[in-house]
Amino acid sequence: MWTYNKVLQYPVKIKCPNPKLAKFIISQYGGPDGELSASLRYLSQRFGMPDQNAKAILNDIGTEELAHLEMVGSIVHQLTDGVCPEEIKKAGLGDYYTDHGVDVYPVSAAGNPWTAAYIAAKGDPIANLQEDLAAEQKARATYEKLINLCKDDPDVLDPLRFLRQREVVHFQRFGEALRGVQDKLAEKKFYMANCSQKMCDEN
Amino acid sequence: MLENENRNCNCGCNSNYMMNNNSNMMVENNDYPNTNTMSASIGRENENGNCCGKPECAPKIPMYSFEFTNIEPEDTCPEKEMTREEMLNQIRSLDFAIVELAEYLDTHEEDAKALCLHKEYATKLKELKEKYQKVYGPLSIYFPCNKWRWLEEPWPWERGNY
Repeated sequence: MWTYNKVLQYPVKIKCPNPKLAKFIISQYGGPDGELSASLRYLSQRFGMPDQNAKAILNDIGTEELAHLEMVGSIVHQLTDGVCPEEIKKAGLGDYYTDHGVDVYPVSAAGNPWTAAYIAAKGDPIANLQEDLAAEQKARATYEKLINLCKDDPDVLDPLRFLRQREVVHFQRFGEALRGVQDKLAEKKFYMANCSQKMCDEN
Repeated sequence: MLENENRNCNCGCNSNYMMNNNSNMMVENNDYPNTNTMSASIGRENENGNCCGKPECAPKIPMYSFEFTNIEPEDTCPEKEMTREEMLNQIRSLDFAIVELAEYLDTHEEDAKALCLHKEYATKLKELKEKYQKVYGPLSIYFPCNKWRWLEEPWPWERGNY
């Protein structure tokens, strides 16, 4: 089961609200390669993994992604909190504001609501881990695009850099887990058999 | 229920104050026949004044409990060595009691009675988890180990871990 710690994994303290940036960054909250997708993808796939290492890594990274979801939510909140509707509208968030105000709602940068179609659980550990490796690279690429768009605000840049770095580490860990799963699946199968009297006599 | 008035839990809470708030402790639902009984059970003590009936056994564990948490006096007797399954069941019960109390306190932060229970259960849970993890391995990744034992046990969804 889960417990909550009242501390962000990495601090988010943005001094200047900027709804334009929020419009982009919200994609890592509820977009296809966002943290919600990541967490649910790994936590759903962990049940079917064939070895302890793969189960553990999916469990533990899936949990860390929830901490990232909170960080991204905090960034979006701090970028939009207290901003007047006129500014929200100018930032291209008029449609979002209509339905959600400045609540943090899981949508992509283009405004598509989060869908389970963003994640996969294929019933095949190799396919699932390959999916996870790709997902981490896509998330890294997304963060790099966000970093390009947020160059002007170091308060935003700093947590984004941290989150990007975590994607790189997770990619590494999933690669190691995949190698372990492949080795396990490629192992020769040994079957237990009763030792016959003859075999015992031979020794 | 009357027993509560004289209860001293040594945590500085005001037991008279607690009494006034007691009735809010449970879900207020008139269809639920047992609301009063359940509230009363919070202050219930063993007739012998201790947890296992032996006069020499001074209890360190609160003798009152929410009935629905299954923390019975015999489960918390310091004299008795618990099995692994019993320990885990008690961890689960204490954890759930804390979750329930925390959610209640989120909307009733002034309720000293609930706070007092929370404090005692949280202390007990911390100790019990420490004890359990030293023997049976980590329940979370935050438990310090000399050897990485996180992979040893079956996962909860595998019917492992009791």
